[in-house]
Amino acid sequence: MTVVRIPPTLRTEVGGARQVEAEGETVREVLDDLVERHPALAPQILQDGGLAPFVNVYVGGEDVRTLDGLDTSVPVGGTVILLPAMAGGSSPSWSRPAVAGSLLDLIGSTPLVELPRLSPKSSVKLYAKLEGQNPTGSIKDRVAKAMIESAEASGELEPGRALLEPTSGNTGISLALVAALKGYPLTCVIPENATPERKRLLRLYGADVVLSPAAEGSNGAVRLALEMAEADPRWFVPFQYANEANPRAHYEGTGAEIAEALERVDVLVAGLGTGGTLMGAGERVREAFPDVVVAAAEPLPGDPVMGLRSLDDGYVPPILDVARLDRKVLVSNEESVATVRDLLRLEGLFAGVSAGAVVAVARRLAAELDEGVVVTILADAGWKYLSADFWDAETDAVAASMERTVWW
Amino acid sequence: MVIPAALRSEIAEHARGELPNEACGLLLLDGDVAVEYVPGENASPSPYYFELRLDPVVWADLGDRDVRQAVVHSHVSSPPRPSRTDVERIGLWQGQPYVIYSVRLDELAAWQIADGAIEPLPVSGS
Repeated sequence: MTVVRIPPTLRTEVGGARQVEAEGETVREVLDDLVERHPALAPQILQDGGLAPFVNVYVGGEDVRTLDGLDTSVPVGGTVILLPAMAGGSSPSWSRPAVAGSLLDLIGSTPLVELPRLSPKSSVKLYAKLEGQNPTGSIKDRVAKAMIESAEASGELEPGRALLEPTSGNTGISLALVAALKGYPLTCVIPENATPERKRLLRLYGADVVLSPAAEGSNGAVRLALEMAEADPRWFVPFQYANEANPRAHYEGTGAEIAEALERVDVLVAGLGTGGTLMGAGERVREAFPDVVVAAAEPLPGDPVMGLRSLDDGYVPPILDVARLDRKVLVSNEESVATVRDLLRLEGLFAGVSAGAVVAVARRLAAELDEGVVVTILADAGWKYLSADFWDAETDAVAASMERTVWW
Repeated sequence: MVIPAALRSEIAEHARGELPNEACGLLLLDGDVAVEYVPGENASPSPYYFELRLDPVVWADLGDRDVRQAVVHSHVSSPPRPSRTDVERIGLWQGQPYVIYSVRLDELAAWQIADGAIEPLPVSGS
């Protein structure tokens, strides 16, 4: 007979006993006999013909995983000890898997890169989180995956339903990827002045596209989508502007990744679109660094930067609580464009236009610090804006736009 | 859960001593009151990971004493809140007291993790 010592966490499965008996010459035989006598133990200690991952088994004081595993021999009259295999830690799963089973597994865990040539002073470190490295090339992959998986988990979204979403483009493309892999049809409402690349990409990813008036910007896409959904209840509208899974994806992903990658964050800057990034990542980074200034880059009213939103244009997304923004910095289209060109010229970073707005704001806030760390979240890369003519247009209006800054 | 100042200091000192890596151990509880800290070894030394190693006979003997156990580990810079890894690796410690100490923030918090949900356990000093 072999004595098997049972840890407190497994005693319910053996009727409260501290130790039980089992028979066998190897660990496999002993454990097989053990689960025959106490079937409730089976799922906790054996899985797929091997040891369950959360239990350690010791023979003669040695972990059998370092010996011959289940084939380790058990001496006559010996003792086998079962203990919980306790592991955890603050971070390691932030790295991407080397081989993934699905593109969905490659969403998030984006890199941070320092931008030394764009920092106004060497004592202030400026970092960019490269969300353009998500599978469809934007931060919205995180949001799309989170919204769809949360709706599936709650039972709101079931096979057979169709998705409808207003979007300035990136969210649509991300939803199209996730929807395609999960088998839902998708229709996107998108402003007709969105770049041709975006419309084309949406269609290539398999989405249907409905255009809303250019003059109404992304607010017009929201209005039209909500009207369509009201008229036809078969649509499921994830609606990133009001979906709590949006900020949660940034709390659990974007923000946690920043908080765990850096030792210090004094300023966090992101674009104000739905508010999801600023709310979610801002909250998580503030938990780690309570004195952080969470700053929104907002386009000047009437001067829309693609992908960003001016609160003065009249629609405040329900997930956005402006009281939780420490600062809001207005930035012009001209300055955003000048900065996105600087990013490419000086740092070799090919980013989207909203990234120009975010980095422009980050540089101004960095200039106010004597020393510290400023982190920017760059929502996407430049590819989807290639057809825009600003990349090589002459611009001399940058200095003038700086003076139109408003702080609060 | 009550963690007297002296035991809190022991945990903090152990965590600082293991820098730059995470530290781990067991806190023994009489009812809700912590009575002893048993420092463990981090078998996968890393600033972002721990794997608790204790002499198996010692740990099994602790399990036969009339005390409850809380697993303790440190986060080097992040807050003392369970990370995704902590939740994914909770394993047999589901529903058991789980203490995290943040070295950078000098903050300690206790939790219960079950079925992916994280519940805070109030901690007081004495």
